[in-house]
Amino acid sequence: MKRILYFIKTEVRLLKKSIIIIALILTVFLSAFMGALSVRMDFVNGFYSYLDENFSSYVIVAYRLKTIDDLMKISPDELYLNNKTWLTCAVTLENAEGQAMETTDISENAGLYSDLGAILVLNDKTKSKLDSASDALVSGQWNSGERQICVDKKVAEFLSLAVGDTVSIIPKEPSAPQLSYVVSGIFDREPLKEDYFFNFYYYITESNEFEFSNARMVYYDARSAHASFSKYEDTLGSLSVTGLKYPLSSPITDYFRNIMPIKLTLDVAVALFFAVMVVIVYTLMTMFYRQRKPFICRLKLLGAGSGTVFGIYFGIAVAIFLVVTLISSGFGVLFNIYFMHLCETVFELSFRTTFSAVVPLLSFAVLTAFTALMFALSGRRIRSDIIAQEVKAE
Amino acid sequence: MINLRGVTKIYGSGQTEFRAVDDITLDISDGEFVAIVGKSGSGKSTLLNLIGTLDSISVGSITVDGEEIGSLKGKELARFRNQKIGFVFQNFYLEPEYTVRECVEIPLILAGSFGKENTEKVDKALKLVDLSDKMKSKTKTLSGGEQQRVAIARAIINDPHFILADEPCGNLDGKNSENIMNIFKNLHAQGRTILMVTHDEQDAHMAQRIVTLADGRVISDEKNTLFY
Repeated sequence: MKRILYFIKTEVRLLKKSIIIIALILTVFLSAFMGALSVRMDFVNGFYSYLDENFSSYVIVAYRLKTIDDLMKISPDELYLNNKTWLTCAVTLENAEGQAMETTDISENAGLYSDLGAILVLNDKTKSKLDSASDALVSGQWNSGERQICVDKKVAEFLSLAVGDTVSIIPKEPSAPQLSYVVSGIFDREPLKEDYFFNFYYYITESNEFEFSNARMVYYDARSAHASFSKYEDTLGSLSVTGLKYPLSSPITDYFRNIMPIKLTLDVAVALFFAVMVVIVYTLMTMFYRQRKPFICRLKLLGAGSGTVFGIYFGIAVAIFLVVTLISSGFGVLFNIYFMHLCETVFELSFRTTFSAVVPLLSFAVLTAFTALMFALSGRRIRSDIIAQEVKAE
Repeated sequence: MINLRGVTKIYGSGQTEFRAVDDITLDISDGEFVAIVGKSGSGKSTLLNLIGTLDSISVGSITVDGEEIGSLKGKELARFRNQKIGFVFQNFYLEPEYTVRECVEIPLILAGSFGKENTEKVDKALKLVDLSDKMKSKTKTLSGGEQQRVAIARAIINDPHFILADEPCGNLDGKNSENIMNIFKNLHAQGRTILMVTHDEQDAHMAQRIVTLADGRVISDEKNTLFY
């Protein structure tokens, strides 16, 4: 190891500026694409952007429904059963005295949002997170049973709700079921970390406007996220049963026309793959661009093993990778958050990152193939007998 | 001790087959200074490459200090080149961007040696070839004669049993050739075994034994009566 480090130190000192610049540009380029994976960009129904701190993988599949009739044909129970998630729409909340308020949004964890605050209808995932957040409770406890909810203290004030009171959730669509919930707790949202229940939310309908509505099914679990693609056909099939007027004959066509896979974030395997690919590519690049094959030959002549030679170039590649990745990661994040945001807000350009998960892998493959090809075309084998041949030729 | 038994090197096959070295049997004792001479294409460099493990033997065997070199692979082969052999070539094969010190130190580094011990060895080797004052110069800035002296210093730095030199004076003028040959004579006087390929008769007569090749075969193997 020590001898490898010695040569890395010496060789890095001799590296031409050109290779560092090339490596920098390539890494910036690739990092920008990788950033596209880790930064949520949804320019379709408004701009939401955040860094996925958990690096968990998920896919949002959006079904664009044309009318509220279509929406209501997908019953919440059925969607829950099919997709392990909640689906609801804007509702009216009404207390026992008939005092009401409107909600407009829905959270991933089935929270209903109003201008005043949130009402939590917990699923198991949220519950497990909130159990440890007792300091956010103003009174009562987190809802655990069916037909229980927790409400934001501002909502509670507005509707004069106390723990034990009953609140009705009344869908705007008359045919949808009306449900009653008992308030199990009142909470203050401030102490809660955002990602407890506020990771993201999306607009379902605007109050009293049902002419155009969207419903989405959300897959949160990293494993099921990948599996969800393969289940797509089944899901559409189940929608078909509900009587939706969907052209289901060609799932692939429908996939691109009606469904947006907005994001497939990095998971550990992809990240490792990225790192390994980049280091391999840089190793080949360093060896190729530095044209150090004669050096390799001479090293072998003087007693360097193949492992030592590879270790030297691998080490150089890692050094380049680390340095330029640190620099370029900043560029990548800037590119994704600010550049895209600028395009959206200033130039009114919309982006869809449907293929963002594929592009970096493709670019790796192309880059690797190119480098390997150039390496092969150089027509020189990395063997000490090159020197023997040269000597012979002389 | 180097023992060659029926060593043959064949390039190509069928009608294009060419025997660069053809059934050579030779023994080189420790401490000998042997010159291998012959016309261009006689197989002298090929023979040196086979002994130095730079090329593979087609038929026969070579043992160096009792070790069959044809069977050496990977780390063993690297160790053999690093510890047993010191190479000197006509074209020097130095690292142009390295300093003289760095260049000479490479075999030590590859052997896993570092620090003060290396400094002492490099100083000693450079003193031997009279290059102590060029230690910090880049090798590309040196003259041909100086570069060849760096190559010799690099070849002896690990104190190898054998020095293989392929036309060491081929690119040098008369004065520099003389200097290099004197260094070889000094190394020989210190007990090193030297195997030198040359087409220069004057250089060859600096050796104590002259092996002449033609068409890949040994046509004469004589003691040099002029050796002094």
